[in-house]
Amino acid sequence: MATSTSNCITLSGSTNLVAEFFHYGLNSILYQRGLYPPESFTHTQQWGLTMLVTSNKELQKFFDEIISQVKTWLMDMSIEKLVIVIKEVGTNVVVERWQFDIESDKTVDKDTKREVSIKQIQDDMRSVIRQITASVTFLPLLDKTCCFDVLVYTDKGLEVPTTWGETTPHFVYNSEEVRLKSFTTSIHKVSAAVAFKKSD
Amino acid sequence: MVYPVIYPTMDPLSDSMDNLVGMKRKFDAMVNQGKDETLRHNLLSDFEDAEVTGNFSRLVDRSPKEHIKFPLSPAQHYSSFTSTPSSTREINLKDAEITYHKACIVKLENRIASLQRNAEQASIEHDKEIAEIKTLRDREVKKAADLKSKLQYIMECEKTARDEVHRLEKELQHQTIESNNKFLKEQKERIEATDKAQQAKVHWKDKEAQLYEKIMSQKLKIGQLQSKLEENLKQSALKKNSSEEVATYKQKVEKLEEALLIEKKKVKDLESRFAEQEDNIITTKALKADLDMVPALKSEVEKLRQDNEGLRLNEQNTMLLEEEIRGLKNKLGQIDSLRERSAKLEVENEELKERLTRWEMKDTSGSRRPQSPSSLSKRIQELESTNASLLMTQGEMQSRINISERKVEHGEAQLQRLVSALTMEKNTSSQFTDLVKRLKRKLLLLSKERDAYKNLLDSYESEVTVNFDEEKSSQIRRLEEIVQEHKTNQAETEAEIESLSSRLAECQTQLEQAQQHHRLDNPEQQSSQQDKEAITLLREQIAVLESELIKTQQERDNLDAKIEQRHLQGDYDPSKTKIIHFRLNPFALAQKEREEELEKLREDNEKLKKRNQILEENGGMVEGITMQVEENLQKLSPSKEIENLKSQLASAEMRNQRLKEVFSKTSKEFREVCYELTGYRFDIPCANQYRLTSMYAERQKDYLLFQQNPKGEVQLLQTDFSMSFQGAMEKYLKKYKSLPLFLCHITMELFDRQTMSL
Repeated sequence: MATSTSNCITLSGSTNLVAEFFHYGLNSILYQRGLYPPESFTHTQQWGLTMLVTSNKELQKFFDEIISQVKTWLMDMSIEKLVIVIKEVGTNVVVERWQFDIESDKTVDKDTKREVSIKQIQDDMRSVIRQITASVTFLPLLDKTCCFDVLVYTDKGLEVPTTWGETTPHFVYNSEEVRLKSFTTSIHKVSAAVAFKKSD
Repeated sequence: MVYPVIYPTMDPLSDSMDNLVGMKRKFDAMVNQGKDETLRHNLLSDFEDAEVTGNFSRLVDRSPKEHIKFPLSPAQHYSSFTSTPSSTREINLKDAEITYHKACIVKLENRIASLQRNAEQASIEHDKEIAEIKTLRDREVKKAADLKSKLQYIMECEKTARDEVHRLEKELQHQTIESNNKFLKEQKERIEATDKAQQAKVHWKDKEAQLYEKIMSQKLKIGQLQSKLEENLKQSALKKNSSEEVATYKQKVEKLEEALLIEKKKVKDLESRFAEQEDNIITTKALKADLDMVPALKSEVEKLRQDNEGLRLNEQNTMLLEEEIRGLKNKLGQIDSLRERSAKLEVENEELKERLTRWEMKDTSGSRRPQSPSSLSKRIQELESTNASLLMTQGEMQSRINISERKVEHGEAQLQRLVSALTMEKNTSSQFTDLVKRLKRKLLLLSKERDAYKNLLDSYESEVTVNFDEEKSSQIRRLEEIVQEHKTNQAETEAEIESLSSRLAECQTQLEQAQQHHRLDNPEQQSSQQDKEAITLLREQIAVLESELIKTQQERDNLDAKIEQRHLQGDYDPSKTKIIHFRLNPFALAQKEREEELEKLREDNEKLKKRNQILEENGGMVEGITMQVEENLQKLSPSKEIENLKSQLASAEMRNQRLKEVFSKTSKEFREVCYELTGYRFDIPCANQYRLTSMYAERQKDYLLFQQNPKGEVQLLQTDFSMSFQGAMEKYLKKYKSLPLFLCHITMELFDRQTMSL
């Protein structure tokens, strides 16, 4: 569990919860969208759900890299969005865009404690993951070789590590959007949405 | 000694022969290194033979005969020369011989010419052959090199293969050893296991026996224990009986203890009762003393009862009175409250009246404008109510006016009456005043008379004392009182007149007010009509505004929806937000991999194309095709090379540009810093010349010019500005030979000048 106390949350606790959610969310999307072979995923139990997590070493390394960095940005509340972009490798065309908007309560500091129901938060996170899983039904089939990238929207003035570089927003041309559920830790609010190419 | 004679004639031949020989030698060296040196000499000396062909073998075959033949004639010649007899015959012979020799010489010369030609032909052919052979050789060399490289490659391959074989063998050995070891180990283990199993079996058997024994012993024990148990059961029955007895004894003891406790308690109670008894005795003694006093007390009690009754009556009376007082107080309070309320109401009434008047005033001003429809409607309501109230007040006022008119009439009548009374009074007062005047005159006269009489009396008094004074003075007093009464009457009448005139003025003002009020009613109606128009206008405006509001709301909703969509599409504010990603993300890696793969495929394609081309050119029969393909590939295609060069050029230019930018930036900074620190701006108008302009220069023309000579020394050039510092030049440049001092001096000087001027 991310937090030790049952009904009290701090900034770091909230950060850990959100980071955990991102970890499982990213993995679920990769599995559901078939970007990597299904046999490269292993089953784990989280929040009462059976989740699939990649066992690809390189991907794990990449996730560790991303999540640890995102954690620091969650802590100083400079992150606005986290976006997973799925692109066709051959044509470099963006076909899908999973967007997680993050609203941070900037009045919160390190010592602030909030009364919340951790169970409620976990229920909400679970329902978002379920919705991600369910959205496969309406998303178009990815019939060409695709790969993904993770974008982060941050404050303009933020100093980023040299391993990170600026990029474009990667809009989906001629897109259709679906808003998904959201959850809040009372410090961070995460609302999900998916944009995909309109089928002709 | 024959050779010197022949030599001159042989000279050109020998030259050409030398050439030929050289060529032949080369040829020999190349072709046939194994041939005999002497044979070659023979070949070389063959210049008698006319038919010299390119065929080498023939030359070789023929040469020995000629070798034998040739030396004969010179030898003969020599022998004939040495004998020298003087006979003519001999001379003739010799002549003949000479002629023969000459002929021989001519023949030889011809031959030589032909040989020369042949030799030339041969040389040409040789050259050709040499060239062919060279090319052949080159090819062979190339082939050899190729073969060598192949061989090397194969050797390397072999080597690597051997190494691998070695390694594999080693590994195999290692593995076999390992497997053997394992096998041995396993065998050992198996043996151990079997041993163990046997041991275990033995052990188990032992144990079984032991257990059997144990069981037997246990059975015995059980028998013993059963007997013991029976004994114990008997004993326990006995014990039970004894324990029951003990229990009964215990119960008895407990009962006794309880009884003891009860007894103890009783004792305590008795002790306490005893103490109480003692106390009681003391109290009874006291009570006896009290009982003695009882009869007296009885009489007192009766008295007190009587008093009580009287007091009760009084109390009832007082109660009644109090009730009356309460009723009166309540009444008083009610009256007071009523009074207060009436006073409040009066105040309110006055306030309301004032407000009414103010309202009236405000309405006449008309400066108020309705702020909103609600206020307008309110105002209308107010106005309507005020209108109604005003109508009421108008009615009231009219009635008041009537009343006041009546009053005025009444007042006028009264006034007339009063005026007539006043006139009468005036008349009377004038009469009175006249009377007063007359009386005053009379008084004067009388006082004079009195004075005269006084004088007379004084004169008489001096003679006879007669008392007339008192009567006179009393008369005067009476008269004075009458005058005083008149005066008071007059004052009263005047006061009455004044009060009446003031009332009249009041009535007139009231009348005027009423008239004004009446007049004001009409304009108010007009204003209300204007208000109505304004209201209708405003209502229309409101309707328009509402419709606009609905439209704008719809637009806003649309825009909101659009914003939401844009947001979902991932739009952002570039002035506040930036988008970043991890550089080594999976997509970038995948793309890079793909590019690499593509590049590789392209290369492969290129190779295969070349291979195909070569195969097509040579009709499918080519040796070392891969080598050729690689050779071809190494020769880069010109377009690719150009592209490479272009990219290199572009990058070089870019670098240059950047360096220029950086340089210009740093130089600018440097110049600025120099200007700030030294107070001089440095310019380079032409090579090796430096122009310094001071920060404090008064004009732009005021500058110093320096030149650097090839030795590296800096010299001051003459300018108009520098000429104005002759003294400083003498001092600092010629005496101290210090340019910095000179520059400092100029700075100080210019600064002083500026501050002076400031």
